[in-house]
Amino acid sequence: MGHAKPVESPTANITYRVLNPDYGVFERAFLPAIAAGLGTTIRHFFANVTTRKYIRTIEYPDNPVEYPQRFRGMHRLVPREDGKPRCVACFMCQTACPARCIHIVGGETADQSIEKFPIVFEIDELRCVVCGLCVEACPCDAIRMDTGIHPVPVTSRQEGLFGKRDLLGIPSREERKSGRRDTTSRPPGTAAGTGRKDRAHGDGGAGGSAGGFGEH
Amino acid sequence: MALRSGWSRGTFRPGMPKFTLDGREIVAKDGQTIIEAATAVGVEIPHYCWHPKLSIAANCRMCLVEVEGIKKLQPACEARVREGMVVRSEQSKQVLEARESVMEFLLINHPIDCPICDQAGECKLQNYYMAHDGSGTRFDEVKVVKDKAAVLGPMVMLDEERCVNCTRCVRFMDEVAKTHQLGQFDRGDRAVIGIFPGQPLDHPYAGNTVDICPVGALTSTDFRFKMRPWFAKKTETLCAGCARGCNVTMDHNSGQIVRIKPRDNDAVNESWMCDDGRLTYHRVHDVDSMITEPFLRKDGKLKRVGWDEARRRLQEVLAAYVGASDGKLGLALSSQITNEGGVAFIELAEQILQVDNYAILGRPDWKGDELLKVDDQNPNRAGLELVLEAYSIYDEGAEALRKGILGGSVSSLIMVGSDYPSPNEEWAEALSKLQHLVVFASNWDDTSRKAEIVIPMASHVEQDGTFLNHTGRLQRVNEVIEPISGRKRAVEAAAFTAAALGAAKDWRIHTWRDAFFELKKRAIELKDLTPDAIGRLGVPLGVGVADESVPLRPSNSPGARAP
Ligand code: SF4
Ligand code: SF4
Ligand code: FES
Repeated sequence: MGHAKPVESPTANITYRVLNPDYGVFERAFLPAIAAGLGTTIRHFFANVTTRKYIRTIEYPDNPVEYPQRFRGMHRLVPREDGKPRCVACFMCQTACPARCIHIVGGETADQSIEKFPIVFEIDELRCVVCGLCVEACPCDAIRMDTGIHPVPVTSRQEGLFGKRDLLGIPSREERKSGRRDTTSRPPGTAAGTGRKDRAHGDGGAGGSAGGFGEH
Repeated sequence: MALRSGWSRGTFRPGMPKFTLDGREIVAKDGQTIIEAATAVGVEIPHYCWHPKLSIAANCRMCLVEVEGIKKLQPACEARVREGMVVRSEQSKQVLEARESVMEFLLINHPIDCPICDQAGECKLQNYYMAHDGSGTRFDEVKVVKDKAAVLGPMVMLDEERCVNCTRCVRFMDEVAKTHQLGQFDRGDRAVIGIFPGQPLDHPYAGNTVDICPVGALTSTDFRFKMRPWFAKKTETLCAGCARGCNVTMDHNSGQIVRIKPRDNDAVNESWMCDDGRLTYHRVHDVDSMITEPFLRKDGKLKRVGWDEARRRLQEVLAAYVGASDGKLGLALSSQITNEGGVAFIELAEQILQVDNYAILGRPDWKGDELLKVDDQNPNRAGLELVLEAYSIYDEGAEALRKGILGGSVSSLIMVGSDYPSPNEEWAEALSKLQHLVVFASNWDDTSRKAEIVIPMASHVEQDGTFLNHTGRLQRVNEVIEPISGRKRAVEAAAFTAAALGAAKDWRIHTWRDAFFELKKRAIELKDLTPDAIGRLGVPLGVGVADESVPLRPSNSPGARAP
C-alpha cells in the first residue's frame, strides 16, 4: 500500500525511493490506535499480575543468561608453557584492527627460538568493536576471543586499557569450566610447535619462529 | 626480423644497440646489460644480487631471461645487449618456470619468519613469492639451522637463516667501503655471510648494507623491531648531517621519525649515506634537550613562559633597536637553518631592526672522509653565504663576532640556531659579556642556556625550505613532521618577532615560498628557478666549488655503468 516518489539526492547521482504510507481517516484519527495500545497495556498488566506471562526482564546478575557459543567476548593473550605470552609482537593484529585499539611495542629476547616479544601489549577495550579480525590475523594463535565475558564497566578511559598482564590472566570459557589453564591448545588445522626447535626436529619445514606461518 | 631489416636499411647506430624485450623495442647504451637497459625504461626484471651501483655477481639466478638463439637461459644482469637481440622475460614459459624454481630453491631453508622480520613488507623474497611462485613446499627434510641474531657491528645484525647469499653486502664492503669487512664462508646450504675474527663490521658506512640486503638478513640495530615498515609514512628530504646534503627518505609515524634511508641521487650521494647521518633524527626527538616552549630569564634563571609573555619581552628588549640603534646589535645565523629562514631574519634585521653586525655561525668541523662526509658539519653554509651576498651584507665570521663581543662593539645578539664553531669556554666567556642575548633554537646547549630569551624554533625536519650544498647544488628540504608542540618554523619565528615589534602589517614573509621569491628578486643565481622546479634531485647553481664527482663508484667493476 502506498505510492513511491523518487527523490533526487543533492550530493550524489543516486536516486532513492521514499515510501510514504498512505494513511486513511481511521489512522489519522489516532484515538482508535491509542485505545488499542491501552488495551494491550491493560492486558499485559493483568496477565503479569496473575501469571507473569509477559515479563522479559533478565535478573542479572542473579540469573545470568547463557550466551551463545558464537559470542566472542574479551580478548585474551594465550600463554606459553612458561606463562609468557605466545605473542611474537608481529603487529598483524594491530594492522588488521579496524578500530585501531591495539598498541604493541616489540622487543628482543635472548632466546633465539622466540626472538621478538611484546614489551607492551595493550588493547583499548573501549574502542574495540569485537570484530575478531585480530584473532584471524594472528599467525601464532596468540590472541583469542574465546573468553565469553564482557569487559567490565570502567569509570575512566584509562581503566579500559588492558595490558599484557591483564590479558594473559583472563581464562577462556573452557578453562573457566574445567578450572585449569591450558597452554598447549590449538584450534584444529594449525601447525603444532611454536618455535624453530620443532623445525630442527623435523617438522617438515612448516612453521618458523612465528609458528605455522606460510607454506614453505 | 624487423630489426635485421632495420640494420640493412642503415638505421644502425653505433653505441646504441637496439633489442626487443617481450616484443618491446628498447634502445640501450653500448655495453649495457639487459637488466640495465630494461630498468632504464622502467621494466623490472626480478633480481636479488644485481645492484646498479655494485659489480655483477650473477649468483642468484633470479634474473634469467630467454635470448633467442641461445639454448640456455641467460642472466639478464650479466648478459650484454647486442644489436638485434630478441629477449623474452615475462612472455617466456621457460623463464617463468625458472623463476618459480629459483624461488623454491631460495625458500628451502628459509625460516619463513615474516611475522617477526623487519623486512616484511619491503622484502624481495615476499614480493617475488607472490608474483612468481605462490606454491607450497615440497621439502620434507630438516631445515638448516643457523645463527638468527649474529651481531656484526654497532649498526648491523645478521640473521643467517634469512640470507639468500646474494653477496650484495660483501660487494658493498669490497667496492664502496673498500674495507673488505664482510666475507662469505662455507659452501652450499651452509654458506653464511660473516665477519672476520676480531674485526667487527664497524665501517662508518656499514648501515648501507642493511638497505641493499634484498631480504631480512641484515637488520639495523637502530631500527630493529621498532616499527613494521607498512606503518611508516615516507617523506623525501635531505640529511642535515654535513654540507653534502645526502638525499634521504625519512620514515615516520605520528610525528615520530623512526629511520632515515638514503635516496638515489647520482649527483650527490648515489645510493648511500653515512651512519652518522642515519642517526641524526635522534637529536630531534631527544626529550632531554629539546626546547618546546619559550623561556625567559627571570632573576638569573630561565623560566618557562607562554608565547604572549615571550612576545612582550621580545618587544621590550628589541624595541630600542627599531629605527635607530647604538650600532651594537648583532645577528648570528647558524648554517643549520634553511635559506628561507635566513632570508626572513635578514629581512627582519634590515627592514625593522637596525642590525650592524652579521655572522654566519655553525657547528665546528668534524672529520670528513673520502666517501661522502665532508668536513663542514653544517648543511647550508654555502646557502647562507649566498643569501648574505644577495643582500650585500658582509659576513664577519665567528671569530670576529666573538672578538667584537669581548671588545664591546657588539652588546646585544640575536642568534638564529644556537650553534657555535669554537671551544665552548671561549664562546661562553663572550656570551656572558652580552647585554641581551635572544636565541631561536630547537635544542638546549651551552649557548641557549645562556640566553635571556629562548624562542623554540623548528629543526630542519619540521619545515620546508632549501639548502645549498658544498658543491653549489640547491636542494629542497621538506617538512617531515609537524613542528613539535607548536614551535615556530624559522620563517614564522621571524614573523613572530616582527609582530612583537608592531610591524605585523608590513611584514610580507609568511611562508618559505614568500622568502624564496624574496631571495630570487636579489640573487641572480636563482633567476629561472621556482621551488617546484628544484625538484626531487636539486639543481646545480654554478656557485661554490665545482661539482666534485661522487667518489663512490667502484671504478673497476662492469656494474659501474649505472642505468
Ligand atoms: S597477531 Fe598475534 S603474534 Fe602478532 S602481535 Fe598480534 S597477538 Fe602477537
Ligand atoms: S646478508 Fe643480505 S645482502 Fe648479504 S648476502 Fe645475504 S641476502 Fe645478500
Ligand atoms: S640478478 Fe642476475 S643472477 Fe642475481
